[in-house]
Amino acid sequence: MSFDATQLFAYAPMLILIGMGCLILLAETFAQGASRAGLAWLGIAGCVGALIAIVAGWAGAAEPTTHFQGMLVVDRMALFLDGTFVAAALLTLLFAPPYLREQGFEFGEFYAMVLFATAGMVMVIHATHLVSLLIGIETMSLAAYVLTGCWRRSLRSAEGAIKYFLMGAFATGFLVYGMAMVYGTTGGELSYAGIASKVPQATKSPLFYLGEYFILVALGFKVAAVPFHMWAPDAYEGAPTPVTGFMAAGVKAAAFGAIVRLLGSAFASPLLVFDFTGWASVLAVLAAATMTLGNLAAIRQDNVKRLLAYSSISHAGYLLIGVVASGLGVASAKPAVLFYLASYTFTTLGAFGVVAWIGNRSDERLYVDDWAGVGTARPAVALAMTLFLLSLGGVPPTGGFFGKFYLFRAAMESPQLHWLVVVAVVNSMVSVYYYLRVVVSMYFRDSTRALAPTEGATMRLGLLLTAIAVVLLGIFPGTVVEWAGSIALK
Amino acid sequence: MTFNLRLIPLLPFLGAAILMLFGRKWKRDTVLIVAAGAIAGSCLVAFDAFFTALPRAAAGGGLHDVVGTWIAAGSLKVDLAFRMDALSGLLCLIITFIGFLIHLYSSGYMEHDPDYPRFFAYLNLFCGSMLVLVLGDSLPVMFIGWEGVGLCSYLLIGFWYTSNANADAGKKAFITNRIGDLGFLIGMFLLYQYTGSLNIPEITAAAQGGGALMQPLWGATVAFWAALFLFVGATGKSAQLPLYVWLPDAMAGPTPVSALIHAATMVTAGVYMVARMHAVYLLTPGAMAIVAIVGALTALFAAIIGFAQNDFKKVLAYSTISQLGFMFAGVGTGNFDAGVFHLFTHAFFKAGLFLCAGSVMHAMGGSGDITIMGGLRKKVPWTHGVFFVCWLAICGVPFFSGFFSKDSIIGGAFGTEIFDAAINPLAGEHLAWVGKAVGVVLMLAALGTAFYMSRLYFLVFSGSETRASDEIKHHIHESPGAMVGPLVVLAIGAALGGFIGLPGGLLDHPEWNLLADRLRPVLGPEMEISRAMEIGFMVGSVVLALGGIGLAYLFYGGGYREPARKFAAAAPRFVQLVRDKFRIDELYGFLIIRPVKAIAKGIFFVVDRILIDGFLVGGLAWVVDLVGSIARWLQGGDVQRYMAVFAIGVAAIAYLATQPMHTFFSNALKVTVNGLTVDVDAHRGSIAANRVLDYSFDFDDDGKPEVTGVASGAHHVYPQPGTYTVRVKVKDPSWGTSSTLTQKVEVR
Repeated sequence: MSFDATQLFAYAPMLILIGMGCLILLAETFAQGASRAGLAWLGIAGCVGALIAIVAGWAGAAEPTTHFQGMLVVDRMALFLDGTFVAAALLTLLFAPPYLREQGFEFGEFYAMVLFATAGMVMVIHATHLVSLLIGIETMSLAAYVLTGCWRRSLRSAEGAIKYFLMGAFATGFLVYGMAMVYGTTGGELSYAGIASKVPQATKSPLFYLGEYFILVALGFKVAAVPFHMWAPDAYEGAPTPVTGFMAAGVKAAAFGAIVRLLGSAFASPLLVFDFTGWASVLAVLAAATMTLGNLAAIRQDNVKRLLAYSSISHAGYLLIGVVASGLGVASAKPAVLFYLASYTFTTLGAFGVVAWIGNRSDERLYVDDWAGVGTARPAVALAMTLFLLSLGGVPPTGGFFGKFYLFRAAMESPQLHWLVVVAVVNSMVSVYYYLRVVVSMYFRDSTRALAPTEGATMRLGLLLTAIAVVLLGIFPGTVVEWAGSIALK
Repeated sequence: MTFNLRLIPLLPFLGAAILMLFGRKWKRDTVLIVAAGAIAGSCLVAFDAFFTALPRAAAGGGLHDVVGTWIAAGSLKVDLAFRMDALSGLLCLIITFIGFLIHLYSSGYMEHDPDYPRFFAYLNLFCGSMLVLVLGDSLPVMFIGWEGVGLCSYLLIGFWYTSNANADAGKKAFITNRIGDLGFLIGMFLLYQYTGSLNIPEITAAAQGGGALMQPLWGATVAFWAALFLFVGATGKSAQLPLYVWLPDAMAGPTPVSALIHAATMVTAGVYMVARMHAVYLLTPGAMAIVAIVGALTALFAAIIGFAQNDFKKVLAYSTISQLGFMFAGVGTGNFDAGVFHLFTHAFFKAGLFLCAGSVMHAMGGSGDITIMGGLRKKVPWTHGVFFVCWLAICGVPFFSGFFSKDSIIGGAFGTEIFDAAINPLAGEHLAWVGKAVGVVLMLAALGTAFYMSRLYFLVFSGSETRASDEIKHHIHESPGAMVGPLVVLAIGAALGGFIGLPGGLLDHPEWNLLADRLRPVLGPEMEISRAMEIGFMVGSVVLALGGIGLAYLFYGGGYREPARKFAAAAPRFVQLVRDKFRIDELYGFLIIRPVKAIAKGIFFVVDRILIDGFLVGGLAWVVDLVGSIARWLQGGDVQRYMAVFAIGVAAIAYLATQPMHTFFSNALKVTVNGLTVDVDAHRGSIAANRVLDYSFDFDDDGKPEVTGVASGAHHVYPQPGTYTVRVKVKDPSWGTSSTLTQKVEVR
């Protein structure tokens, strides 16, 4: 086995993120008090560097190239999602500093952890081998556990983190168990291509199916698909709000990327996809359950953060429809999923950004009633939040509308999925109800107490950027779909 | 050739956005500089594009600018793209130039209005939308502009929204336009379905090829229906019969708005659209005849209503409807360049007339009642001068702009060959009368135009006595320079604008018709009619114009005269009917609005009260409650419980995955009976037939299978007729699970 260091250049985005994370950890030991603010800028610089590396690599990635004995691949899909993750990290680093300062736990490690988690996501999406997938998932998850629990003053943060960690360990158990079964039944294959080539023999053994589903269950846990979603509301509620947005967007997108890649290569054989026992049917049922349960639970929430957590569960359901459609051979399903992930990332980050903005140290203002009067007190922020909520609900002219449109249209091309589209459309209508509750509260109710939000120039910049992104995705979806479309053909 | 066309609409949009966000806190001068600056910049770019870049572009294609992909859905791909050729370029010049003048005028007119920034923001927004409308390279982009100007029109008609009448007028305009827009959309869908494209050059190419649009549809051709539905859209936007009713009410808006939107630009969008889609119209003389006839009838009908109106702006509103009728008659008889020419000249003289109206009303303390005016000639001399020029232009007095454009429409109507079956194979025999009839109606309308406009002029400006109260008379004054300046520029345009479209053929210098020269690559060659005819019509229309003016002088010269009083006394009910606009609004109220309201009430009761409130809201709440309480119990906060749910989920998936997949896909066996022979297929109904399953077929239900193996079908011959039960057992060897399917068969 030879190691060719030049291969590393292809992974510049990941290396920049890791390197900058380490640099932040080192710098943190010398930083005191206010100078910690500079650490966030280091992180932002790292993200910008990674974005530049991604853009620079885009042209060369038209054809996929594998590296390190088939452990990792560079292709357009990976770079597209890399861009999404890094944008999510960048926005998180814009939202977080004022929030952390206000809540009194601004540590440099926070920024480093965000970068490490992002590096893990990048690894996940580049992985073409179950071991590199595992490494990526664990890097991402460990950082996410720490980020969830880093708000030491808050009991709920600690509770969310420990639950997330326990459940995550449980899920990782399934992942590793599944890998072992696949390894055994395929005669020692762990790379996606190798597994795919051994499927006909491997299906003779029932353990292969179990292994396949165990791996899917572990990834289903990461995207918070019902019934593996139970951790999500607690972890999302407990985590510091910018982290919640980061997890709901980035972690979910990474896991979906892994699912799409895994199901599109290792488990793409018709032997595994079709029929009632194929993953397409199983995931279709999960999709229906996920969106329905997520939405019905969200209706009952008065806590905006929890409401958004359940809404994020239901969005995993919509996305699963696209995954199933792509399994059933619909060519336009994959770009639809990727577009949805991009638009969902910006929308969710923006929405949680506003949730982070509205509270302060003594008063988190998490309840729907607390949002009364924001429309008159701070019209710009209320408008941004309305945009995000409309996008989540799938109302034009926002990215969320076209995300759903492309997804549902792809699913309509497969007659077996028509019922699922009906369920999804009914669910989207139901979801508009609870999204609009917040809007109604902001605009049509009088404020009960004065607004004292966490101010910060970077926070405002972050909200502006996300709002612009959401609108642009709603006006020029075609351009982004074309980028995503160049991926799907590969 | 590419050119940065996006700047033209973008600048006014930016101006609008900036003014909406920050304008409220700014000084009026700053607001004006931003608003007028945006439109002036846009105007400069448009001039540069039209006069510098466009002549260099390849013929026909014009300038092009693709901003990006807007919609990509399957075979439908729409770019956000702009295109400027001579036609859209001319419209851009009109919109930006007159728009700029009206911005200046408004700075004086709206001086004391507290909502000054909002007004200018809307005005900029309007200009941007209108520019998108004309520059749009595809029907959907055009439609954004089409809807955008409709929205701005609504916002500006109801600008003084505190008065109910203004808000109602805005709503009326909006709803009437929506009816037309539905037609536009249907036309668009038809074109897309049969040409596979929404891009205007591609549709034009497809139409010139003929094939796709000449297919039969609903008793006519596709082209006929597409053209007709598009024209329905045009009747809404351009206030033609029967959808014209909103325009007179739209005068509730500030006067600069009436001048810009409801005279010079937006209402001409329908004419522009027909000219833009001329290739489709040329395929269908039937639809063109409808366009021409509707235009001519509107021209006459609105002119007659104009005889008896006593509100300055209402007279002008009906005049606009009537003049738009002329334009439609022009494009409907195939004189596309003449229709566009009249659009151009009308933009100047009608904007001028409206702005004069604003100036006069400004002087009269806001009142537009012409019965109390009179003798204003000396009191507002500049306004009078401008009105005088524009009046001569609209009446068609020789060498003023309206003379040339109106004459080319009337002459073209008589000379058109579109409806002549001998020359145009597409036209039916029965259409031959259309051109002549339209021409005659238009001549009557021209006479009417000269009459009501002269009535307006004499009642307002002539005479020595102002009929108003002393208090109003005391305040009459000329308007400030900011208002008079633009008026003078418009008057120059109204006087000389006709010279860009000289009847070159008549003068043996075809190239003197600059307009037709520029438009030829877009709209095709202009119509040629014989010199004798042309001179005849020219003399005839001069006689008509002077006759109308003379008649009006007899009735109203220097104030109300004896013949006018006599006439009103002789036919009081007729005069009242005309003054009430033939009571068309009341007719619509009775025929359409009342029934619609009744149906809406019924639907409200059945759907809203019973179905939604009772069933859906009540029923859904119950389901949500139930699921919510279960979910809440599960989500109790206990990690052990979470893991249990997780484990149950895994178990459920494992259970599903171990089912023999066969069972779920063919609930029934496929059985074919042929005499005593029976074929049974436990087929899979799905593509993955390569998973190996073991089948055993028991045809007589005796527990002993007759056929076993991996094949999903089997064949059996029964010894005697009767009813049997077929039982098929399917086993999945990799899981060891099995399932059974049964079905009764009857063999005879």
